[in-house]
Amino acid sequence: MSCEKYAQLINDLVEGELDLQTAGRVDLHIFACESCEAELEMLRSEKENYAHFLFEIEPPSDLSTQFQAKLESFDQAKSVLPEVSYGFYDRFSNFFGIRFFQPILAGAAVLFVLGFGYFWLRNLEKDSEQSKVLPSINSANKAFEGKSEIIFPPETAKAKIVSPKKITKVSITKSEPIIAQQKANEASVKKPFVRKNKLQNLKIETAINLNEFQDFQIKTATQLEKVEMLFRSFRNARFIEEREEYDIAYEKQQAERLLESNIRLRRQSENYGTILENEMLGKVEPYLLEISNLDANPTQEEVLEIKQRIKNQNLIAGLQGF
Amino acid sequence: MTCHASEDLKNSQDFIIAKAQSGDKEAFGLIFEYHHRFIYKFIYAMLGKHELAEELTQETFLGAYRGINSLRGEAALKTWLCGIAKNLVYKSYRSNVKENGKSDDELDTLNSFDGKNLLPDEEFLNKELNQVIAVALGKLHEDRRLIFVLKEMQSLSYKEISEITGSAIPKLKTDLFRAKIEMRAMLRPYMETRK
Repeated sequence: MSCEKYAQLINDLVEGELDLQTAGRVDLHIFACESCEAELEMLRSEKENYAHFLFEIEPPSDLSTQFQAKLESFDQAKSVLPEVSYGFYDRFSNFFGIRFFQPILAGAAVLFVLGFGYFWLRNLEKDSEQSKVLPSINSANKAFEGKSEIIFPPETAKAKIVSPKKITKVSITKSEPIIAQQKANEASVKKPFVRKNKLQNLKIETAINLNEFQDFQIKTATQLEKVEMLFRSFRNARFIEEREEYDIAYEKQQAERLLESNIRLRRQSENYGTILENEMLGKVEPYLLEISNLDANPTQEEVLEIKQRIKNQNLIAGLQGF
Repeated sequence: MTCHASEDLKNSQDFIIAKAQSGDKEAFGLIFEYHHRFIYKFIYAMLGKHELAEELTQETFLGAYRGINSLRGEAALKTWLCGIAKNLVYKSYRSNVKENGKSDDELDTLNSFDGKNLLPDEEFLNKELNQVIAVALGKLHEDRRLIFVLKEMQSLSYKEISEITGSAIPKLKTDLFRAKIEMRAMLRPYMETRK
């Protein structure tokens, strides 16, 4: 891939919006390419400048009072308006906003009627098929007249495809329609039990999922707490003046450990669809990667640059509030 | 920080929204207190005028007060408010185009700065830079300015910006990238003199 194609990716890297794999790929390229490294530095310093732009902009201190007054006058104006007496239809349509949604409601009604009609016709078809099947069962039973205790496969709904060959045990004599009826009754009695079992299974599954979800939430909270501690520790990392280096061996080790669990939890949060957790885990991940990629004794610039970005993104405050 | 803390935080926000939806003005006042600075800064960055930012911030919250019942649980309050503010900003642009035939005429604070009378003292360098940024920002196309402000200046995620603008994330990325290139080109002369 050429440098031009990496330009957009470098921009996404600065924005912290790259997944781990792509970020690694871009990092590798930057490591080998001087112009892209310069571009990355340029984007970072520009971002810092832009981030400061709104720092000093503050709304006037009396804006809140002004707004309260405006709100009061708005409410008063609303209450002064003459009350129009609405009929039942008006009130009903205003309540549901039917006038606004009229075309949508009409469409929904047509769809409902069509759907209902389709299922009704389908059921009608099934009934007629069943009535066709019954005589065939009767005729099959007729073939075994004088014998009883015919064993059908468990689902009598499939009775229509049961051929006389599949019927295994035959003994006592009974009249054929009664036998078919008995079997049908047995099946109709068995069916609810099957449903009940399914429901129970579903309940157990839901309970297991809930436990898993709670477990995930606790793990995420613990993870974010640890990340917050790490960022704080990184912010206060010890500076060795003689060598003009930072000592971040402990932070680096922690970041490596946390990065792994962070990726796992972020993926889980995607599966569960928990947006807040996913967002926060995604936000901290690039920083964990960067800290873990630092040397044990990095230069002042490297550390300050990461510190500054953590500060710009308000990450520690965000984690604290989470 | 625990799981319960985050739940409590979310619950308290939901509780305030629910109270405001039932017509509690005090609860709505809290919503105003929490979010008006963000909205004010956003409108200021988009329009470059304090008076207009003040007026439109109030309009935004008045609109939110009127339509608070349409806020659904899944929509984040901040992005919802930002969406209302964005519509008002665009409306302001359109009215300017109608009145003056040019969308940037209202941005006199931004355009009055020509870059010649920069403040001399070192301590004012940052203010100076902010002025230059404001001028450049006023020259960006509105859609790109919106994305640039939300991402670079207010640090929203692409997902949140997508909710506000209704644009797909790849389009946002491209627009932001182009906006940055334009901004760099506009700021280059100043940055070179500063060096």
